[in-house]
Amino acid sequence: MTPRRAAIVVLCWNRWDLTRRCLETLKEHTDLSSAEVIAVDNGSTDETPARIAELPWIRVVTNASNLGFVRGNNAGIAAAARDADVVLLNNDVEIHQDGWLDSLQEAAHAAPDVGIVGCRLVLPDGRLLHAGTFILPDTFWGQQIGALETDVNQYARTRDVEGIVFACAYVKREVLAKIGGLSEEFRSYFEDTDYCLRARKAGFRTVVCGAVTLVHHEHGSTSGDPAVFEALFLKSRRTFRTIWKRELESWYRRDLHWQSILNFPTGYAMSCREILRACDADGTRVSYEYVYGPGTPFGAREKEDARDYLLNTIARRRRFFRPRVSVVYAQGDVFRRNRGRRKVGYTMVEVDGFHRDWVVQGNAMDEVWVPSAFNRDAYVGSGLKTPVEVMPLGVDVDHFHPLIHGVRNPAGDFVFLANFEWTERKRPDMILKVFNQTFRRTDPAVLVCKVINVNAATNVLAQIEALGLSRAGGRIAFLHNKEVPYHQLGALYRSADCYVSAGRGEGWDMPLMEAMACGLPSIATDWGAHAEFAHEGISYLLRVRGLVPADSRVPYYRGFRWADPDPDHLAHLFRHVFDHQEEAAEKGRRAAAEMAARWTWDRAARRIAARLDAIG
Amino acid sequence: MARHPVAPRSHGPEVVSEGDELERLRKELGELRALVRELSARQVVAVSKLPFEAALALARSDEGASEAPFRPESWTETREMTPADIASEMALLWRRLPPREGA
Repeated sequence: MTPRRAAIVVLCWNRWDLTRRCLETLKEHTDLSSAEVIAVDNGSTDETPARIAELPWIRVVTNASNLGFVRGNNAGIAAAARDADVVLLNNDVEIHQDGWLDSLQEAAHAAPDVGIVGCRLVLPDGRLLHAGTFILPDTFWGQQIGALETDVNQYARTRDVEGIVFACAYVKREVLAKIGGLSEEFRSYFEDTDYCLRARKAGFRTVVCGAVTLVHHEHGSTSGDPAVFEALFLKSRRTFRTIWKRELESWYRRDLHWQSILNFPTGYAMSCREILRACDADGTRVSYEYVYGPGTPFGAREKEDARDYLLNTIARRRRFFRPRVSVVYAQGDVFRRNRGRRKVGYTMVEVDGFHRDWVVQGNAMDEVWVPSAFNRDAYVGSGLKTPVEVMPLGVDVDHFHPLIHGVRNPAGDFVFLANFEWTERKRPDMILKVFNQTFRRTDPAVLVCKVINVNAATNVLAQIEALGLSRAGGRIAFLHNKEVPYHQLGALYRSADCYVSAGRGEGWDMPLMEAMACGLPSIATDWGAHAEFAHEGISYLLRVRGLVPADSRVPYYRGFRWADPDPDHLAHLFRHVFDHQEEAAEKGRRAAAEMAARWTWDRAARRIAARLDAIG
Repeated sequence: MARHPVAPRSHGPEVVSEGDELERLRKELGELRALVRELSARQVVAVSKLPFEAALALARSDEGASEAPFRPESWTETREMTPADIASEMALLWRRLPPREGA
């Protein structure tokens, strides 16, 4: 297929220093044989008009005065060839990537219903600024996805979004033909989201092409005058709200009350955050309420700030006294706090049975959800009579994927990684001893353990020393009690070559899933809830010698059993992966593909939605 | 397996300067390196065929017993979580990692 011509419209208003960098980098990294560059001078009073007139490869459109972002860009769109797609490019953008235009064009023409394509934008200091936008009808403050996260190449795939900022927007001719240019009800701000929503109503999707990253010096044209910025912004916001309030609210097709934990470093909290995000994106209006606190087995109060705009908004939504459906997503010991007219308890456990109290509380629910068949069978086997649904969790494939940038070992050693809390269940003693005994210090292999211990009764260093590890054995390094931001965890996994999860039992094992989504081969105990997603085709399953009593401080484990992983087989698997690195890498690639295809949070949210719709 | 098969040579004048002799030694060194790689590969294959306990015993017999105990590098015992930037932490971890013997 012959690529369609593109007209790149660069709107300029003073700040020649920025425009010059934009045009220089544009020329350096763009094949201009199939693209025309149109510079729209929006009445600049500095040297801009004279300078751009000196550039023969640019067509100049001159506006007598500053018409604002919308009318300025519309002048450029009007000047473009009638059969060309249009790329709107801010003059405070720099391009440092060959093939950027080809990638945008490819994404735009990948399907007939793709209408608008944006890209990742980073700040000059390297932080991510934009990977799409959304606006909640609760507040009408526009939000940029991924904003200010350290850039580790998150959001690298092409994915659907509600909107994009028009600092760089590839607009297909079909969209322009159907809905015209930017709405002149706006002068600056909100016009980009407005345009994406208009395109959506006309049948076109907006996507972000994660393969393209440009540098954006944000607000180059107005940042010098906060008063101008604020006035423009608030006026546009009022206009946007008037136009879109009813439409945005109509996208929610169902309501759900969610009682859980959000702002603590626990597995339930981490997954709760993703469930709330995914449900909201899927059209479920969720309200949130902390389920623990004084009078519960976990008495701590929860801080209010989730450090996330969407989650904070969800947590502040109006709550009904008796919500129609409420899900308690937590341990089964707080199911009784469910306030819904229809009560759902959603839980998991790491052993082969459920505590009697959890069964009693589960039987007081209208239905129970568990993430795995492993837990369903254990719950039913423990006496649960309430109907049970298997409702799998998911993985965030925008922050955990094979293109995330890791920090590779400079000596080229093969790196095994284990990420766990230092407890008996995770078998740290076995992992360390077996690795140390299986390899020698001369081997180009190292085990990195990211270890957490906040238990005052446990001295990890003393326990490591008590293992009697040999300095001549396999080398082991530790990241101890390091709180890595969620968006950087993928970089930890991508710094390794194989993930190790050799514990006695898992209620889900999100770190394993995240590592697999990052494309790592994994060694995982062949017993537990993670059997839902880990199998021999995409993981190395560690044999268990049988089930043994779950001796632990955790009261809910008492009387139940968990796995006894086979250390001989772990040694064999360590060695096998090390000796068959290409085979292992292929398993990792298959794992990543399967996680992205089958185990996203989007799918998890759709299952929840389907169940809610079935409940009626 | 000796820990330091060759004593480190202090910096100074070249021991060998004559062209033919230098070339002969380069060639011999290349052959020895190839031999080491081959022996290492054979060792991996042989160990992988042993029962685990036997391989373990072998590993312990020549090196493990007389060694000083393993201690994690730069460990600070704490129950508090410390905010970390993964790029800095991993770079630091790789710098502190003891080199493999002979590397």
